[in-house]
Amino acid sequence: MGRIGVIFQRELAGYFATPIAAVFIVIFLLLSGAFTFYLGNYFARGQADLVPFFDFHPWLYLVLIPALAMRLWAEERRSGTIELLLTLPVTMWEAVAGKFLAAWCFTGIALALTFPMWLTVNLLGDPDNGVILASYLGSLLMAGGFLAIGSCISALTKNQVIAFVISVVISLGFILSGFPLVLELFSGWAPQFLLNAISSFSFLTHFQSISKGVLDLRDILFFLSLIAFWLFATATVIDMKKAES
Amino acid sequence: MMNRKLLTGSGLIMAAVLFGVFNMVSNAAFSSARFDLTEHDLYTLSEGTRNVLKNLEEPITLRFYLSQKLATGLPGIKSYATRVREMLEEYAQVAGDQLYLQVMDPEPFSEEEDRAVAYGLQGIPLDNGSTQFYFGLAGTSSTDELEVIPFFQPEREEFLEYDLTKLIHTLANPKKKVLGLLSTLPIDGSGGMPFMPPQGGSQPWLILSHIEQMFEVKKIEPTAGAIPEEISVLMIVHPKSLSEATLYAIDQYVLGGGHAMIFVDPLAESDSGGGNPMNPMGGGGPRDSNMPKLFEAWGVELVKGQVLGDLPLAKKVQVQQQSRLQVVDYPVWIDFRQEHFSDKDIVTAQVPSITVASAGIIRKKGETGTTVEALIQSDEAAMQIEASRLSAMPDVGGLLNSYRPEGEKFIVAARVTGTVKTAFPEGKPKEVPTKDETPDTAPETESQTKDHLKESKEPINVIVVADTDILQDRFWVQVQNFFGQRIGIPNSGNGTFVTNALDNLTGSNDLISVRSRAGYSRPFTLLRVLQQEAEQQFRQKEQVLQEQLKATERKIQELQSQKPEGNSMILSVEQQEAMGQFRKELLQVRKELRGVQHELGKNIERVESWVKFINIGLVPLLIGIAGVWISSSGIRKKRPKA
Repeated sequence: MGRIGVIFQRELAGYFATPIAAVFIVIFLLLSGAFTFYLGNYFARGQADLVPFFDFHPWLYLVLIPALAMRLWAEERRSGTIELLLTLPVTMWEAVAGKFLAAWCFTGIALALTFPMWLTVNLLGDPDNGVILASYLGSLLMAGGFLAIGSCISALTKNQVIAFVISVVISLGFILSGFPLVLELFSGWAPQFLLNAISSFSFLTHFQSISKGVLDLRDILFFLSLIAFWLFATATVIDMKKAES
Repeated sequence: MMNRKLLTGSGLIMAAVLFGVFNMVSNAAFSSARFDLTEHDLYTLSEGTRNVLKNLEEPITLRFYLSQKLATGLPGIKSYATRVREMLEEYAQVAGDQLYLQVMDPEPFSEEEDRAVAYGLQGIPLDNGSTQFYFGLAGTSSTDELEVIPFFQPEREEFLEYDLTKLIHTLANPKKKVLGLLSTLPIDGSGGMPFMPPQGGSQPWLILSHIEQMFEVKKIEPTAGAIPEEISVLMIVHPKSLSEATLYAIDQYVLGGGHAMIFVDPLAESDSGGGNPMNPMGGGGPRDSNMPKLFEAWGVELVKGQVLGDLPLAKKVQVQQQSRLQVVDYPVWIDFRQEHFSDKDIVTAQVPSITVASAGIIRKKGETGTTVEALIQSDEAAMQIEASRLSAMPDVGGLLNSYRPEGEKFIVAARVTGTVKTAFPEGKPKEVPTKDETPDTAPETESQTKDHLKESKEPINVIVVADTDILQDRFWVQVQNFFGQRIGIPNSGNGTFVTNALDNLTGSNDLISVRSRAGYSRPFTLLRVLQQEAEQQFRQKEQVLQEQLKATERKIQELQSQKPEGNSMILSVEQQEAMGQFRKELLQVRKELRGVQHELGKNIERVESWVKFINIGLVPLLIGIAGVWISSSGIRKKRPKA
């Protein structure tokens, strides 16, 4: 854990060494605010809750998180620093986890900086803060899911743009699995239990169920196991690529 | 280093399979492992539900119908269906052997589908109407009683536990208690308008169907001479000009230990006063109701001719002002919130909101030894308003202009308990029973004459509510038509309050704790206060300007009427100058007035745009600046000194 911590610190500090971090956070805050107030009709609804704010998170993450994750490994591969990283006395798993945790923590910081929304809603009315807390936790877990996918795709290619596009497509699949758009690809040939399994992978339904204010162990386990799987895949991909080169 | 063999493509496939299987297993294994963060524990079974389930004496079978295949393609419904199924499983677990749960998948054109239809489940046509989607529940008891939820409406998710518990409670207690309903309002969709034939479109009020789910409702005529003995609770709505005999019957019923809930009103908005309801300008008789004689004996009174106004809690209405539509606060339509309810009384302890319209004020009166405990109480910024000012077309602007908080909290609903004396010390009033009296109540009248009660045997328990509009659909529930069925989505807790009170008066409290938990709406309280303050300010300014405008107009008229005799077409030079001056003033005042009206809207917008600016603009801006500063200072540090 100590070495994961070192990588985590190095990576996290790296985000703040350039204005990119600020740009990312500013875009996230701008968009989430604009979506909440304009597309979500915050005032017209007249309800003291953050439903329109959280409703747009899956879609914001769909674009922003692959942008954040695309440089995780692709950049290291392009500049060749990946060789250096892997010769350090850290295991592959530690490197993957450290980088991921730094990015996740960074997303958490961005999410935490939306606290004025929480202050606003508490000032304006009397919201159910338990529901808001659960929604924040759900949003953070979902962001972790998007990041883990992005991390693996970033390890696949040197080209960040390609990493971004593929991550968006795969993430979209995970958002919408369970919706007819995705299910119809399988409904012709797959058995019912597989259809059920696919539809249970939807980020949207797991996130929505948490943001109602109830932390269900299954929703949490879904996101955690999803993160674990994609991080394992990241390590596998890096290892396979290392063997190739 | 990790084991290299593991880090291969096949390892990856295995991991994917593991991921899938893990989630399928966890989906099945951890159905009730959850941590409920909601304020009212909406996702945790309440004590009331547990009591109902544990006290089941006869076995109950629940058949949960869900078209599995079709549900897969409906993500919104599917997650709700999972929640319903899990909640039912939890019910079965708590109830043990007494609750048997069957999960059915009525495939199209199967026997199961026929059975679902026979139970009265509602199929929703999907796939261009070729298949029906089922998502409902049929419950049967050992005595073949049947209770059905035809379709689980996702909109009613917050009320799911209550709906399920009520269904089981009804099956477990098939013999409903009897509620006596004495109403002069068209609460059951009929009557109320003596000179009008019943309209085809008039529907019973939704509150009645809520009550009918729990009670067998027995109608009592407003002229009845006795309250039938089988009645467990008496509900009196708008007791308008009741006969002495009826009042005596109520008096004796209450003294004899009968519990009652009474709705009186200084101005019942649903009472057309005998006039034509289609023509609100047509006038009509009085629209108030009261029972002063009985109330006096019980130590309470309804303040005569006064309606409660509470501006901070006012609902918004649309009114026509100076030929334009405006949305303004209407201080006599009030949304009470939790802080205005008694938190000691189970009836209101957890009700989130109650909406009343032109409600009255209840006061304690005299020394009768009863306790009057407020269930609903106004804000301190409330005031009393003459009921006569609220005619068919009330002057909302005038109400707002003359609004002055009285600094007193007024009671709208109260529970009266204690020992009381009869309101009829001379015994039964000597009145000939009216012709309307039903023959079956006549013998009881005689029996009552025999043992006239002078004093209550045990402490009375009566709930008095100073509003009848609280029962009207439009003030608490949004009615949706769902394939020919009327579905009510409450937006205020009026129904909860009334049914809680009736349940409580018959001595059953289990359903109360389940019923009161749903969230309802949470309005922007501060924004409303800010808006009201701004509106109040501008209204005062507007009033001054309006008066100025009228004065100037008057002056112009005066000048015009003072034209020199003989030649009415010509004004003197001074007059012309003065006239020109006044015209200018008039234009100026009109301009200012327009400005004030314009400003009113702008001021409200300003608050909203500040909130938007801070959230969308200011915070990102500050963070952007901070980010650039941090990163540039980091670069400076790294740069070697020149």
